[in-house]
Amino acid sequence: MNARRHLIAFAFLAWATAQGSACPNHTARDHIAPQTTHLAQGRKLYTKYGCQACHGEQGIGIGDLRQAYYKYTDEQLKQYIRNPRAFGNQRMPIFSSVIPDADFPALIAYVRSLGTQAAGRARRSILVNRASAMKKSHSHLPENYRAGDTLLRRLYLGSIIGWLDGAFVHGNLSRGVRAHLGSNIIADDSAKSFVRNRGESP
Amino acid sequence: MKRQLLLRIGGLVGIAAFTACAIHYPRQKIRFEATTSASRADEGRHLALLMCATCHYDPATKKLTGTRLRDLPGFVGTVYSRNITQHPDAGIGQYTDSELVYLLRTGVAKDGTLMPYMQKPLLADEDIQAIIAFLRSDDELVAPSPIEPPPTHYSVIGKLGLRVFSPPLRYSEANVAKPDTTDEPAYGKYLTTNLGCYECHSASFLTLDRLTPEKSKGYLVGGNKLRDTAGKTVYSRNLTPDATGIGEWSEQDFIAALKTGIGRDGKVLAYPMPSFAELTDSEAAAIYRYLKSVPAIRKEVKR
Repeated sequence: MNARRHLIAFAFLAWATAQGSACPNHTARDHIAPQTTHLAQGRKLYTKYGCQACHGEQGIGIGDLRQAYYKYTDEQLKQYIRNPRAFGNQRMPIFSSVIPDADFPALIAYVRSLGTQAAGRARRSILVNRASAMKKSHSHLPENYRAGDTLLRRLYLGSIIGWLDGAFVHGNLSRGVRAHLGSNIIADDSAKSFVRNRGESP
Repeated sequence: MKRQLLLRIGGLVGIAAFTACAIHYPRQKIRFEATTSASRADEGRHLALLMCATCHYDPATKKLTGTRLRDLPGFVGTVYSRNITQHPDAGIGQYTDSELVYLLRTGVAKDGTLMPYMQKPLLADEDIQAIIAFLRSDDELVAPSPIEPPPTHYSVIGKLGLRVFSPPLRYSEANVAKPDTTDEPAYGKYLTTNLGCYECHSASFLTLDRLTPEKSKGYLVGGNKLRDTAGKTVYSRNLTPDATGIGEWSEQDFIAALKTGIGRDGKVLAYPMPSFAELTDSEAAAIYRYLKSVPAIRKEVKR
């Protein structure tokens, strides 16, 4: 009897789930799916045109593609890839005859995502290292000391700074924030080099 | 029996000590003074962009501050090219002309370190003069920069390979003349040698003959195992005039490929092949004519 009830419940749940997934009102999913496909297509094109041979899988290699997302607009990036000589780059191949116009939006979206991913990693690394630095600096204090509160406050401030950093990537605020955070707390190598490169004037 | 065992252990310890030591060589004192002039520095800039920049140019600093040589197989170690700007400590500001010439001819730096990729025994004296004039000029590429790449770390295999296969060359006082630039095959051969085409496009770095490049194993036949920045293995292309090489390439295809980095098939010439934007059409044509004159050898290279 119990097994029968379970079976009915399971069948009902399966039906409800199927209805839910077929529901046309899932706007969030509709919104995310094309973006993911776009990036996946960009990644394929990145490999197809041999970008990773020089710039590596994560945009680090000859030059640093992670800088592209705040240094150039989409149109500038397209022109750069089409003819790097116009931007003073004498090393990169000229792709004007290789990449058709239709492939640029996905490719550029993917190149931009390399920078935003790196910024995310850098922020996470800053927060994690800041937290561990705080733990170390308070390890000699008595347990009832309100170090935990201070740590939470600092973490909270850190996350706001991180958010501001992301929000103002195109402005000078970003550099100011990075200068404020300092480099002594960034242990992760890639984050460190990214921050250092970001610190340079474009 | 015991004696044999001791000998073997002694041998192993000897090899370990031999490879573990830093690769330093004594330097011979020579006299060389470069004469500098603006036109010579311009010519030197052209040559340096073709020869030095492929390894020493860092896109981040936009100067010849050195960068990682990512094309070398991982087992060699982690190798960085040095800062060759005029900075007195980080760069070559304290090098004399003689020390620079000695490094370019033999591969031994001022501090005795062996830099095997720097050996250019067949580079004409007048071109060396021009490169030195450029290195001493007020060009932005060589303006003093304190940025120093991390130190090079060779693996044990890398050190052993360097000691056995790439010893320093002997310095020769003999004058090296530059061929007539209108004699296309001869000038093409000169460029193929000094731009280092044959170094990657022969069978292996370990069997190069730097004094007589055409005696290198698999000279210009390609198949040398390199790697790209993503770590993928890349085999160098066959450059002989066979159908598996550049036999079906026209002069225009070849010039365009060298200068734009895009091959005849519309595909990018993958790293570590540099694109030589600074190469003039006549220089690229001379290289093409020379390559067309070497024996055609059939060798299909994995792409």
